[in-house]
Amino acid sequence: MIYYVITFANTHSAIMTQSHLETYANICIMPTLREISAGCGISIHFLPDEYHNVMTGLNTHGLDAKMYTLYKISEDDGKISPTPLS
Amino acid sequence: MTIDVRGKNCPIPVIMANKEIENNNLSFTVLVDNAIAVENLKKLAKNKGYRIEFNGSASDYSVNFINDKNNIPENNPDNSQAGSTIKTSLILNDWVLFIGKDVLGEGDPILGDSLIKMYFYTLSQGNDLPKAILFMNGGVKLPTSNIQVIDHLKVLNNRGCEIFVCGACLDFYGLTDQLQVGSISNMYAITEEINKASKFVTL
Repeated sequence: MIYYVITFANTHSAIMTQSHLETYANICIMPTLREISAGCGISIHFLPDEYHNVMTGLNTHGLDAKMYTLYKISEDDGKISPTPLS
Repeated sequence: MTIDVRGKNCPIPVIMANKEIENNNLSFTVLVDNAIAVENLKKLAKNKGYRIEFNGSASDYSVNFINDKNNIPENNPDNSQAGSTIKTSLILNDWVLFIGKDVLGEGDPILGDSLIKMYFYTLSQGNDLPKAILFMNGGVKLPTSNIQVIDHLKVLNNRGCEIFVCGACLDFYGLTDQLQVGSISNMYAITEEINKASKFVTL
């Protein structure tokens, strides 16, 4: 299974971005994967079909690119492999 | 025997029907005036091993409870097959989750909204699922209005979790017609779920 997550430098950025992206794409928020960070963080989850809609939303959001990281996640038989894309 | 509870609010119809069941009345009819009461009576019948025949529409329903003695309640300890099923269920997920508000924790409501979404995402992806999720008071806003939580609840529902939503609470908030997942329930059935579970978790 392939999906994408966006992690954020802080909680406020995550919540603001989630509200913004909801109008562009079918996304949901999830806890930041333990494979990415041991801290308690908020991430945005979306499926490959929504990739372009999410990118469009991110481009109109104006959030500094340093404030978030996009990951492609491969999940196979319970094994989670994140690949950073930005 | 006919019990006329038209005009009586939830949970009176269920309480009156349950009294007949406790009196070992194997066949009786309940007259009610709303579809929610019919749904609640159906649930009661299922739990108690009765079958239902009903007719009517709009504001006048006749619900017949029939126990032909072939329908043994699932929690009847004399039924070994049902007993073993329940036992397995108890080991796997004999806990219920109670949600009394539409955010997680006290403090900032925006953060609380994000946390409750993440909670249900995490729960829906895990393997330790509750037997039932009960929504009351402000909690009923989640299965009616919170799109992300509704999606997670649908996953949980498809994986076997029963979702009960307080009918009086939906009515209070004017959300009865907006329920997206789960079934409308009442204090009587919700209390039974709480009492039956070995673990009760409230957020």
